[in-house]
Amino acid sequence: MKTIKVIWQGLGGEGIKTAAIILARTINQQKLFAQSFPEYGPERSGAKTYAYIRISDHEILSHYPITKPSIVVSTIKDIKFDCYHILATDFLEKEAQIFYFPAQKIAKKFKVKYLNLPLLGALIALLEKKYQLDATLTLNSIKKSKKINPEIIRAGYQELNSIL
Amino acid sequence: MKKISLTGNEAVAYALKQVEPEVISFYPITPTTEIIQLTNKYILEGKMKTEMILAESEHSALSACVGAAACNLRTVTATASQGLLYMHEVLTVASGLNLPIVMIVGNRSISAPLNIHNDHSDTMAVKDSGWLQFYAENPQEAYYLTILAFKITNLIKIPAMICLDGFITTHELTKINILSDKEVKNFLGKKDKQKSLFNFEKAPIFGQLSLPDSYLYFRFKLAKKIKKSKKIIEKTFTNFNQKFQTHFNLIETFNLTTAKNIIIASSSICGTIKETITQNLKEWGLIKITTYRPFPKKSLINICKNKEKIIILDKSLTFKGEKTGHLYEEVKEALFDLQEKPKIFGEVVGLGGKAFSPKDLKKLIQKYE
Repeated sequence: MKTIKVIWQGLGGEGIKTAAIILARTINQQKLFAQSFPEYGPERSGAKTYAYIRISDHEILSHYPITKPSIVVSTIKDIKFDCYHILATDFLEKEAQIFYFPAQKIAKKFKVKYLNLPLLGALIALLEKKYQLDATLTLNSIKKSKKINPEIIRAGYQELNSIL
Repeated sequence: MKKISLTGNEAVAYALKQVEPEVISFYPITPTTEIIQLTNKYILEGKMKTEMILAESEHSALSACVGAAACNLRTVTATASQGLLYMHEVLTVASGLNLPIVMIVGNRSISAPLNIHNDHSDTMAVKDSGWLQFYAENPQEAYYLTILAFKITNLIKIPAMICLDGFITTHELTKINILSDKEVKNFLGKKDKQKSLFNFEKAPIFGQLSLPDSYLYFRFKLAKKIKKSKKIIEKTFTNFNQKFQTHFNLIETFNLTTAKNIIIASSSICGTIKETITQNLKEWGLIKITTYRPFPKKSLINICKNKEKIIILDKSLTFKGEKTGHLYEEVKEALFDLQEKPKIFGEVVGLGGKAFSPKDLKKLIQKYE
């Protein structure tokens, strides 16, 4: 299996790091290996921040920020890579490799401020469709906690899945 | 042994929970703040019987460790960057008094300009303060080295730093092997009996005045102790390796049997180098420096004597007028006595968190081919 590389970009304080960690932790419970690390800090609250996720079937040795991603998940409209993009917007549409995703609408429905959980659902849907990730297993192993409502992730998954 | 997903900071905090040192003294600083948050949580949940001291500065945090260690208590602190520099004064006190303190450092660049990302400028600035230094490549090594540091410092009575690359290793989440609490406790064993400030009947003296006739004796004694510590560290590593199927050594080698050329580096970039060598740099090998203090001079000489080229990658800068780092100087000095020396080159990479990718490595190698 070729390593899947995901860049998650947005603004500091949007929950990017948390979302990347939820996904990596969940995938690590399966037979796969996942690595995630952020580029963030309290100094960068409101500024552009990144989280990197690598998924593979063998141990991941590399520790450098991803430069050639397979997927970019973004809350800001910044398209500079030739790869799949999931962009947080207010409408649902597919345009070549770009998926415009209504993260705001789902977040509003569940009365939450952050877009990271609906976007995580969308990312899981794309990983299932294009890279054969076991989405059912992944979604089922995300546990409910103070910060995480799996229902929001599920709603995001279903929303993007409808146009894949 | 079980596998769980942890970040470097979480792995270190988990190791601390299992070791249960008697005193933890901290002052929070990015990127090691999470260690404090997590150990504090463990203490509040009753999973860890440890006295936590939240000091008002790094200087005080380490001073509290010095006091606690002088009472023969297992102590630990964590810091980074400017925090470590602020501790510098107390670092030499801790080593001079032969106190077995363990420090976790999240390697971060030093100001100015302000940067919170990774390089080794902070630990390299204090490399000659009489502390042992171990560099972890990934969260797994950080976990094991934290446990090992408590054992080693207890045996040698010299403080030790475990260095994790800030944000890269401290915040990287991976699947790692965790030992059981019983395994950790059994490996550490009981603390050695040593002098303690709590021994009121036979009160020891700490930090006495030493005049010119004796000062040299004490400093040479410390230097001798650090030299001797190599054997104890090697023995402890071997013991740990046999028990838990790990591969710790003063240095780790990769693809050296056929390679004529070597890259020497330490910490997280070694992972990237290993992956690049496996994919398309078969004629190159890697030496990873795990133990920087004491410096593994003999092991390096043995490996490097028949090689052609050596490139040393540093994450710190010496400012002596050339663009070279500390590791480069150490290796060059170590290989000086070799009759047939390989060609030695030094490069400074990744300062202030600048990414070092396989592409950068290939470019570097092309430069010296």
